[in-house]
Amino acid sequence: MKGSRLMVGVLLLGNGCAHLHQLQIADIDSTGGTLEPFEVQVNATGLSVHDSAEVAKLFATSEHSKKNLDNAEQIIAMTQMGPKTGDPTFSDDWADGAAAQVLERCPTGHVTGLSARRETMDYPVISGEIVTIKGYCIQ
Amino acid sequence: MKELIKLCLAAAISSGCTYSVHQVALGNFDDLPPNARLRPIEAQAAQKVFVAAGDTDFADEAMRELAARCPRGQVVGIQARHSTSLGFFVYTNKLKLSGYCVEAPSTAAASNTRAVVD
Amino acid sequence: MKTLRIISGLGLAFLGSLGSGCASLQSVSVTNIPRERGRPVSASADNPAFLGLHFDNDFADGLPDELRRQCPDGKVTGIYSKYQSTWYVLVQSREVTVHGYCVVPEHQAAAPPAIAPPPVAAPPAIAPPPAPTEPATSALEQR
Repeated sequence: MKGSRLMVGVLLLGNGCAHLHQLQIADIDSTGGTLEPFEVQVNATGLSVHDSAEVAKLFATSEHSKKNLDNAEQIIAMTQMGPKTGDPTFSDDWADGAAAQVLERCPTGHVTGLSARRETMDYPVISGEIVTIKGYCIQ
Repeated sequence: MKELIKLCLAAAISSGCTYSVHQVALGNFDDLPPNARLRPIEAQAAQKVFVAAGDTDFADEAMRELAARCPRGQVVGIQARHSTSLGFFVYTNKLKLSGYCVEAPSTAAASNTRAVVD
Repeated sequence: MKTLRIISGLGLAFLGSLGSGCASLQSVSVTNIPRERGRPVSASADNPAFLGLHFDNDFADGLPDELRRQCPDGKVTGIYSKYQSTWYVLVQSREVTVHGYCVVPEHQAAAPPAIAPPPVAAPPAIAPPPAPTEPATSALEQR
């Protein structure tokens, strides 16, 4: 029984699931000079309360413990009310430095063709909440 | 019962610690005048919601505030971050707009076209 | 009696929600805001559907044309677009609202904004200022 639980855990941890939430593409101006591509990525770790409870229940030894875990999951879910994209994170400013990083990668300050992608790489219990910005630096 | 009370207390204390970032959009910097000075500006508006929201006017407010922070210049590279601070029956929708206000280019202009961030 | 009051309160809240709906912001985008903001333009489109069952996504396709119609002689820029979804009990309405500025090039600035100018010969274009020739002064600096 313990061996099967361990196997399930290993299998779950080995798989990921990618979700695309938003994609935005801005104007691309090829007339200003040579375009040098660049990429900037910012990310944070999200935590899924439901997955945490399910994994904890795998290792619970009694029905009473499983019931407590269900209650805990419901109570914590009630404290995370609101619209969600991906899993909740512990800060909301993890993506704020993206524009400054873009300017660092492009010293001339002339940037075109910016595309922004908001995505989630989903794993059991945790997830990667990611914003990827690609663009071209006009040389 | 005691365990349930402890759980409720823990949940109440920890509420407001989780967030969800829905969208990050970033605008171009491709029409800057030579040697432009970029002054970082930002504006943020929030909307506290009990269970459900009635409107999305907070987004319009953030937009008006950003434009007002650069009344005589051009605003470029606008980053729009839409997020929610999750909570216990009450959550806060936020829209943060940040960008760069481009003032008149420096008179000591140059063959170098680099922009300067203040 | 207490139960009746609670039920009445919930009923009033429900009726109140019918008028305001339950709105959620789906996405926001803003393009570069111009220096000249004297001529704002705006357009909006909505798409209600029973039970939120929408069968196409082209309800906002006419918005660029509407903005162009309001700014036939200039460039529409500083475009702030907001996409929101509102539930009115069993009907979901998707709305896209767009605001921008109509920037008219300087040599056409004398034309009245609301009336199409009569067909006349365009004035000669103003020559651009000469390129600066002084040496470079500074690199990209961060705060």
